[in-house]
Amino acid sequence: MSRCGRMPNRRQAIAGAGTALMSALLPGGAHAGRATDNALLPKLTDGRHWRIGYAETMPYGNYAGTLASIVKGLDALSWLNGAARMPYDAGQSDSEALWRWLSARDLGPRIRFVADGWYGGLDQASAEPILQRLESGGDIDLMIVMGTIAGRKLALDRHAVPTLVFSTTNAVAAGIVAAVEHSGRNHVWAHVDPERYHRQIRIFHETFGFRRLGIAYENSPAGRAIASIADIEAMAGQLGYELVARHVQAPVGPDDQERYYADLAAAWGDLSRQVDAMYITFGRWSLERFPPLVRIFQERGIPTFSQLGPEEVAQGALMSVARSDFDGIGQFGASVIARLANGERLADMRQIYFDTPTIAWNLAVANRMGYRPAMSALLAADNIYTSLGTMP
Amino acid sequence: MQRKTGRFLATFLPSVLLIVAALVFSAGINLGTFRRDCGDALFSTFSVAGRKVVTSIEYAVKYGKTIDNFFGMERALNQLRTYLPQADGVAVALPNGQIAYAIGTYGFKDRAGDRLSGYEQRRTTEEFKRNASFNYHDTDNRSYELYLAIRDPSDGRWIGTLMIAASDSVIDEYVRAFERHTLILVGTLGAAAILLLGGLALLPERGRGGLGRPRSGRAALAVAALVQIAVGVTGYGAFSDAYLRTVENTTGIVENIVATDIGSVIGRGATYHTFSGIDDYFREIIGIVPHFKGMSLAVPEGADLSGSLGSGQPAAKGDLVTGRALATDADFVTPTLRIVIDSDFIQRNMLEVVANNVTILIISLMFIYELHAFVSRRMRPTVETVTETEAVVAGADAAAATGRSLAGLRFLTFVLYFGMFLSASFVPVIMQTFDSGLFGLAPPQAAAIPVSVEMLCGALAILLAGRISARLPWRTMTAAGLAVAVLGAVVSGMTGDPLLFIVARGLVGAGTMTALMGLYRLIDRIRRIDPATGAYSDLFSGMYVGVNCGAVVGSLLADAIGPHAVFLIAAVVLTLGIGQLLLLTPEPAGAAAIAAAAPAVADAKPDGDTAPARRVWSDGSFLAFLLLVSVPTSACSMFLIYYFPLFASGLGQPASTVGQAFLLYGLCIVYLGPLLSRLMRSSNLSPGLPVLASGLIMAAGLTTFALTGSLVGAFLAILLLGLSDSFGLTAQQRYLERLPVVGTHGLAVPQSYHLNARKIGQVIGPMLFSAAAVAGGAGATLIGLGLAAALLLHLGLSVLALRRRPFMAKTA
Repeated sequence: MSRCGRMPNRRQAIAGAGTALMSALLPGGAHAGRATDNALLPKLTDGRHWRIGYAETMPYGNYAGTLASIVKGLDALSWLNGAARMPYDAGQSDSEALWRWLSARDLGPRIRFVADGWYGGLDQASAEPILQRLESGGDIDLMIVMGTIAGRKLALDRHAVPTLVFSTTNAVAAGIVAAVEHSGRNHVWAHVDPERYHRQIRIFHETFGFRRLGIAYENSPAGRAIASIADIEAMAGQLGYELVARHVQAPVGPDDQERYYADLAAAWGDLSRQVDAMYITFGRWSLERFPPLVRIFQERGIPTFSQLGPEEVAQGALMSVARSDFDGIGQFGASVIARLANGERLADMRQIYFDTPTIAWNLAVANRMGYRPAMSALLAADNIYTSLGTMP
Repeated sequence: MQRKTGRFLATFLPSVLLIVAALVFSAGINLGTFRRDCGDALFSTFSVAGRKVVTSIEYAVKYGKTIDNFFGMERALNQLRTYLPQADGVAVALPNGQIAYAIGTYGFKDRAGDRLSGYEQRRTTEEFKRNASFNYHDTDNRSYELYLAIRDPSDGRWIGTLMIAASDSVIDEYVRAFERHTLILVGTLGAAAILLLGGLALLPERGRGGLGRPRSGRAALAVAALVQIAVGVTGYGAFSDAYLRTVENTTGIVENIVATDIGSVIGRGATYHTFSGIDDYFREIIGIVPHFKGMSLAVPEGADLSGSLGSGQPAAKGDLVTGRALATDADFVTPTLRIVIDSDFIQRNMLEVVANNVTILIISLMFIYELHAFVSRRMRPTVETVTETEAVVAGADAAAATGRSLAGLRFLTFVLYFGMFLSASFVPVIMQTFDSGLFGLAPPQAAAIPVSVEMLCGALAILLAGRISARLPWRTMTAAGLAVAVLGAVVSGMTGDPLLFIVARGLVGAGTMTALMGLYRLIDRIRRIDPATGAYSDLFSGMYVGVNCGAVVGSLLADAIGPHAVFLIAAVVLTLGIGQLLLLTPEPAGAAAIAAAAPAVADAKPDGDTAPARRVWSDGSFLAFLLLVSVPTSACSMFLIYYFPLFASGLGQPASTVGQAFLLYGLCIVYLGPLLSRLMRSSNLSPGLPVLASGLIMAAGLTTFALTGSLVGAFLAILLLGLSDSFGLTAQQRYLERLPVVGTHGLAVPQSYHLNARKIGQVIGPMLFSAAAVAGGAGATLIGLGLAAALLLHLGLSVLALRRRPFMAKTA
């Protein structure tokens, strides 16, 4: 008989170290995990394995990046192992290939990625087959959902399968969850960063002091939620600028994409003559098509701010303040899954997590506009780009 | 032969002891000050680099980054460490004390842990309400630590703390060479001085008008003073070198920071054409580094850079301009960074170094003079019985005994105040070190409690001692007071409980004031034998030397070994005081002499002879003296203690200026006091006149300050205040002795009221000067006029009383 009680095995020791490391890495809003590290580790007595499914609005770098980081986070918490060789490269938008790899491997007894549990293109495809599968309650225990549209389609009460929604602009405004702090529903949870767009607009306004801010979006509940129009309007009241809006219908299918680009070019061209700054909200364009679209603002000396982040600054927007990488949100998401698996209710879990912001400037765009950013602004910048983007 | 050897040893050994003590004290104080200056220099360098990083962090916060979730913080902190290779580590803590980022050695990370200590949290919370930074030497961890506030640029809210730490070994490195040099110098000078004194001791006694051995005590004092001056002069060289090295280091670090900053922007593809705001960037740096007068980019001919490329002032004659090539951009432009070093600023600071060195030297000389005064007065030879009559011999013996008594009194007062003031600089700070709070009080309130309790217990002890002095011999009272103070000092150093600490400070206050009252009783006895004695001025001299030396040595020791150990050293000093009291402070003269001299002091009724019919404060002349002399003069003296530090700080003067003002005042008390008091006694003036004169000089000092409103005017006022108190304090005591109340109640009780009235004046003084500060320059004039009016009113009342009671003639 040992008086020391049960000794931790090697795996637990490694898991403990991983948790400690993760706690040390977890910043800001994820600090909740630090105080209850044990709540994140798998229980030795619990033999249940979780079958996970996935759905996304469309192929998008943020979605694949977030998924990969969640998997890494689960690995760090010992819920699975062997994720280090995952086929993911930064900027990759193909989550299906990643899913295939994950579902084809034995990553341990606790988590299994269901081979036919991946669903894409929900921006245009119907969610009915997924909902029916979830309603039957047969082979999926947890859904990871990426994007506002996919979230709106799947975070319904028709089923009871726990559904975690990531990468939405404003999950509350989109109606996915009831409130910022907690979802209010037992089977739905969504990541929320309520201040993200307030911050962006405030910084953009402090830098350029604009009076008329241009914005283009689809005038539908989903379109307004994706662009986080409520936040932008609220800031207009606070900062005292006038919002000049143009509405562009999102593409209804691949065949409608060119119409979308044409409408967008017309709207932006129109705005470039009427505003003194342009806030480029999330859109349905590809990054390759972005440089020619945004050029009109460069030529007219209108500063542009990308809601998306450095990717669009690299392609010709003047500046952005957005998240640095997916590590933080991945760890936060993994901690939510871990708590869920350990018996906590989704309705009680904190949804707010502040992404570490990074600052990006495009000096080539600034030069073309005849604008010279302050030395201090460049010193604070994390990314500086010096080309106008790759033209198709 | 044996007699000659005995005389040689009797002359030589005290001189050697004096020299050794002088050298140990001056070497210790020089090394301590140099170490502290090196620490300050290190903090100054850290502060410049740290502030630059804080500015960058704050700028990023403006761009939406949050301190607890700051992408790129590790990069910024790593960069800071490369600027400051002496630093063990750097960390950023949140206002709640949680350390969010830490970069450095394993030792640093282990020490820092994941939270700031309770003391550090309380200190940052309090300091950052008023200041942008603070530093301290953590003697427990042997680490120098600088804390800088990080604020939200939008609302100035404190959002984090940048901490930079370096271990003691960094300072040890700096100090080692100076230490070696000083010890060699001190050893050589000491050996030479001892040889010289040995030679002097071997010379035959000086005959009338002939050559020969000078008075050995004075020779030893002169030699000791010369040695101290030599140590001080060489110390100045090292101190000024250290200052210039700091300037050089800081400039080099800033050059590195600017080169790195610009390199980081240029290295990411920007050119000098593509960004603006370099002038703002330079302006921020000039605001951080006080010796920078201007900064600019010098661009090669042909490079067409638009906008302002510099900030600050151009170089004037005598200014130093540094140059450093910066990164080359994609357009092949390589500008040079030019920094203009303000030679006036450097000169001003060098003058300050001189002033600080002179201060140290004077304090060392004061210390050695006290030792000399004690030793030489104790060694004063008695009259040879072979050549003198018995009566002369008896009188001379009594005078020698009284002289030894006076020497003991002065040195004991010095020891008492030295021990008491060792901890004066940090008692309020100690309260912040206790993790357990005190009844939920805010730190500034809690910090004031031990000082207040010490004063309150002191005041109560004075009253009690006045009451019981008739039943308690002076020596017992002094010894008991010192013993209580020792107990208080020991408990202060050992306790970890704030309440017990406060009790301990109360014991120190009560003990020291009881001991002081015992010393006043000794003066009574001396004055019964020799009414013309300068005992009061000896007491005040010992007091002010003790205050100055104690405060300086205490703060240096606290820096080096920590405040708790200093309390224990204070306990040892006070214990030595008990030893001196019991072994080296004889009664003023034999019992016969006391009996013969008993009626000498103003026909004084022996203390507590019979129960007084009326209460002491119901005596009109005594009450008038307290209200119109004791309280107002004491309140006006608070100009130095309360008002001047605020005034000097408002002018941007360093803390050392305040120290110099205290020293100037102390010098007046210590050296002018005995001289003027002697003059006062020999002139047979009525004590009322010196009281009036000293008060009017004080009023003139305040008016001078009010009329000039300058630092020079303030120093002049302090000189006049010192001059006034140098004989005024003694004159007040002598005046008190002549009041009718002493005849009815004895001296002890009225004296205790007088001392407490002065304490009340010390409480009223700050209030008066606060009100005066609101009224501007006219305020101090009003206080001065008020004092003059009070004194004249007192004079008028005294004259009136004189007419009614002619027996008071001697008093007025």
